[in-house]
Amino acid sequence: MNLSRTEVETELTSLSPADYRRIKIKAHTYSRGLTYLSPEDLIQETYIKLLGGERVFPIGVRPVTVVINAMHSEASNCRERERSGAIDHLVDVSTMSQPIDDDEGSSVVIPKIEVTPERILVARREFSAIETLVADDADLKDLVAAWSLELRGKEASDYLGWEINRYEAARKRLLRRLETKKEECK
Amino acid sequence: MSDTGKSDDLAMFLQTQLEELLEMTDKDILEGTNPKDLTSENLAMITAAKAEAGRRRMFAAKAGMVVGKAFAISTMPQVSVAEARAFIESAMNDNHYTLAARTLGEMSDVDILRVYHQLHQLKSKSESPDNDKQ
Repeated sequence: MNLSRTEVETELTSLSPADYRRIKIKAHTYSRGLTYLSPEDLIQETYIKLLGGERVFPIGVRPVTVVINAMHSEASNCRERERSGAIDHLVDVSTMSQPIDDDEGSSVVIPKIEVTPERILVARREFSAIETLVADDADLKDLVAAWSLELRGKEASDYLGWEINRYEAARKRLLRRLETKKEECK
Repeated sequence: MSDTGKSDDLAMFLQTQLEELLEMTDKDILEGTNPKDLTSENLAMITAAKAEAGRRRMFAAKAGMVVGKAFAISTMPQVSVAEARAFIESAMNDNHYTLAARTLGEMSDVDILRVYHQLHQLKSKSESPDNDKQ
């Protein structure tokens, strides 16, 4: 059973500030691999689909979880469209590109992928982007590695050999870091 | 590391991050933020999303009407003006239909085709099996 549009609006309006922040943090994480969708765009698009009935809002599931799952799916769809589209948004135009001497003012465009493939490869890997984001903080790098092994909470702090306080401080720092805007990371 | 390995890492990272986020206390989550700002931002997001969802529904409804019209026109038989005129002439002698008292010669080609299609639709409806049941 799913909620009606009115009920969906009520649930979204009733989200606590903490749940909305959880949504924001996830939106920042999911949109990291996208070219055209900002975290705000991703939340907006997800709300539009939920309020418009294009995405179902099941009864009995914690609303923040419903929104985050819908956002994940929306980001995946967008990522797929970006990859399968005619334009590769991740390819920068190289300075080696040259105008052609013809009537239409055309140019030979050489994508940078031909010049520095490593740079493009890294840009294509969302996980690499996260690793890069925490590269300057040894604890955060370790925490990302632990989470990518599905270790969390006490299990992760034991694995890392940390006191729980250190783990919790690093966790808060990591979540704040994940909210860093993509353009601020360059 | 292979692309597949990275992809698995990402999936597990995202899942663990979600579990941590859901388990963390609201106090920890809200640290360094203003809850009122977050509430206002959420409400603004909902208002804008509702408006956009409404616009999209309206657009979809209009697009549906255009498609419906195009389908109706495309399903009509294509005839010449002469054929349409002949059809109307024969219909004028059929007591099933009543045509306005005006001569065919006074009607423009467009009018001829419009009346032809109206008559054709009426004829189709009167011959449909559904109509027989009534």
